[in-house]
Amino acid sequence: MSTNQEKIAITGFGAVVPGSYGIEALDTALKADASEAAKYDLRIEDFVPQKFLSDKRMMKALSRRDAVGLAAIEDCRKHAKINATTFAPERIGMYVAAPQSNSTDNHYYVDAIEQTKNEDGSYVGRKFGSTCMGSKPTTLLMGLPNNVLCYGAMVLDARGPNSNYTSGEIGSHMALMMGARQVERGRVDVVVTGGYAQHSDPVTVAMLQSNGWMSSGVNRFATGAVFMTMEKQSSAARRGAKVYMNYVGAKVRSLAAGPDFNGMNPATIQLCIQDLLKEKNIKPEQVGMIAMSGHGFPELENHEWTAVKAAFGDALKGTVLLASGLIFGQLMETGGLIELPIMASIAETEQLPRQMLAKESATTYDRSRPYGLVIRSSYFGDASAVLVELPGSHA
Amino acid sequence: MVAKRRVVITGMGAVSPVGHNMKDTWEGILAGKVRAGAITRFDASEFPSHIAYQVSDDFVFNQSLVTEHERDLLTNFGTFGVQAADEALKQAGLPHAKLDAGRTAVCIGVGMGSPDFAWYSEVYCGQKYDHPAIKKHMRYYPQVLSAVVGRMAKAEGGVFTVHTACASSGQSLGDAFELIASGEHDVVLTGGADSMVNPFHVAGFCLLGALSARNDDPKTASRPFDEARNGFVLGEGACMLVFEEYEHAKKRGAQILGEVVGYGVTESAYRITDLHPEGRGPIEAMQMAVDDAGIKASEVKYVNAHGTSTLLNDRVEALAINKVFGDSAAVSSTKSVTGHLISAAGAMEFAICVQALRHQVLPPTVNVIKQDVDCKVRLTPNQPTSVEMDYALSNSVGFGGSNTALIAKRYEA
Repeated sequence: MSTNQEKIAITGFGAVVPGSYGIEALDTALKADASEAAKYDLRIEDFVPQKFLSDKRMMKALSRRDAVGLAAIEDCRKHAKINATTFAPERIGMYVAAPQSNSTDNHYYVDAIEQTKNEDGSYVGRKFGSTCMGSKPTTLLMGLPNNVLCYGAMVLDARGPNSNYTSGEIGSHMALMMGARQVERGRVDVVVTGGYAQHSDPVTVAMLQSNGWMSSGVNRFATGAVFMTMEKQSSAARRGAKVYMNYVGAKVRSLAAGPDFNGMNPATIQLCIQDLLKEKNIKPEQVGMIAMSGHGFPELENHEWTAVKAAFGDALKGTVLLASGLIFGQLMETGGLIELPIMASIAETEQLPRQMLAKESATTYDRSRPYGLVIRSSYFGDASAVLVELPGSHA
Repeated sequence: MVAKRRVVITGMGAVSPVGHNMKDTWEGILAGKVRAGAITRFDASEFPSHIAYQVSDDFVFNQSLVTEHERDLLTNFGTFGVQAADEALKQAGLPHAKLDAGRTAVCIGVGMGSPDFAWYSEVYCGQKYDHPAIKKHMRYYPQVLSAVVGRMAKAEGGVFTVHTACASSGQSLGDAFELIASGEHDVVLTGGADSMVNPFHVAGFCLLGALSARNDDPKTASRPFDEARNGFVLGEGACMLVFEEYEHAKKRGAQILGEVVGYGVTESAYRITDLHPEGRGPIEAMQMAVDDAGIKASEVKYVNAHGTSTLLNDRVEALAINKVFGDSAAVSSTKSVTGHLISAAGAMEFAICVQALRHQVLPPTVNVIKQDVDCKVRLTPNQPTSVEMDYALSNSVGFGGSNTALIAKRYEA
């Protein structure tokens, strides 16, 4: 409940997602028809991080997952027109949503593990203590969940407040919310916030499939990263930055039922939406665009849709309903962010990305409804929502 | 002016190598009970460093705190976290108090977790993705512990999981402070849990040369600020605290243990492991915390240093502390008694600050035989010392460059 009334502007985006390597390429992805979108590689195997990152030494220290994250930060920096003198380093904050370390981060130890084998093929754990010393010295560092925060801070010389969330699907909204708080507090002049994800390693996929949480043969996990800059409107105006939209607020909620992977329900998501709208004194009919996950997990998609219908009722008529996951897959920690530049694009051009529209969506954007809402949910019973004020509205 | 509500501490819980609850942990720190020894969790004999501070084998996990499903998913440090959370919630009177669940949250720092050697050799190396162990691989997700304690706390207001290496729970506490101060929540269960005492993380730290190899004398291996220090010693454990909005706590008659008055957080933006040689990062974090608390630096009488017992950290941190506080604050690193709890360190060390203020006693310096001349800080005496103080600060510094500083204030009703 901040008493500070100045709006928080979103002044730049960076994105590396399937079909769009760089924010400038997003428009092309938004215009793609179904057959083009179907060709997008969700794992972005052909993405070359070096095209965004020039520091070769840094590239050697990064896993591919981290390099994707860092590329999106660099993309964001350029889009927001931030250079080394735009902001004082101690006034740049970073709030990041990151995936947890996974078992493949220890891949550099495989040779050392194999060297412990006896003649009978059994492994001897004790020997690993000596064989491991021939492994890559930075193996532990490669798997740190805060690598992108660290290297991103170096790239930007961002020395201000920061944090790093390993909270799965809603982590990115947590990062936005906490980063915005620092802007409100006046402890930073700009915050770079976002998330990155890569969950397509074989162990994770096998785990989900063996538990029946992902259909065998269907892997919608996507690799990607999205970052944005947020600063007070006065800061944006002072430096002539373009304002793509204004951040209004965010909310997170939880079912608080424990790690039951099938634990989500629509009521938690609905409460999250209603709490946020109520806190910001926004009526449902003022929301012109809603983005849901559309990430390929049917139960969650149904829960989100049920919650949206319950929260909005008749106000849903005429609302643009987006499901970015239909194109970009399940972006996990990156999810809930790419929708923002998409909404900015719609607000500017009034062109709707046909392949991303939910069945019940309006087919035109109503400028008299100036707000956009992005919602996310997770199998752990977490829900989040972010509210933005769209540019050029005629409210 | 942005609204900033008062944040108090109403519950604390701990499981550590020193003791399996907060009282035993605190008394063990005062008594300098160093329980470092050879690693027994796995055969670590061939590692260059094979010592650690382990939670003792007589730790009994209260299984009634979790469902059978949750028990299957919890790693060892997950059980530490659950038990510490239970202690904190009970002290805060929260299992029975009627709270607005939508304004209650969890925000904890959780460690990286790792499957054991057998899993890697049998499952991973052979790419046996249909192995039965794969089904339970979710136990290595940090959100699992957060989700369990979220259920325990009825945290319908959100469950946050934070990871910034050794600064994780310094940041989770700081985030919890922000969530309440901003008005978003009234109660946040916060803290951290970790154990990196497993082959792959011990390997990782050995490869970096970060661990003390004083295997023949584990009890003096962790010696922050000593001239003969040669690396840190891994510990394991958990510490959880209940942060609560002041008026909310008063209204329900909660016991107030202390107050959180300032939070500073910076990024060194320098290197992934090394601190900036001039203390850039920690200096600003401590100063930010002091400014946030609205006090003078000279009012802080105790600094619980990150103090890992590595050559670089201790020297640079001492420089940073000196720059901000001069000689006005006594300094100690309690890692010589607890070991380095990694993601749980920040929470544990802040809890120690709260205890120090409650009892008006400085924790002793342990294992400093000869203070390094390059570490010019006024160390606390070698025994617990009574002192009048109103403010104490806890520092945390992590791989990846995050630095946190949290200031606790003595609470007087």
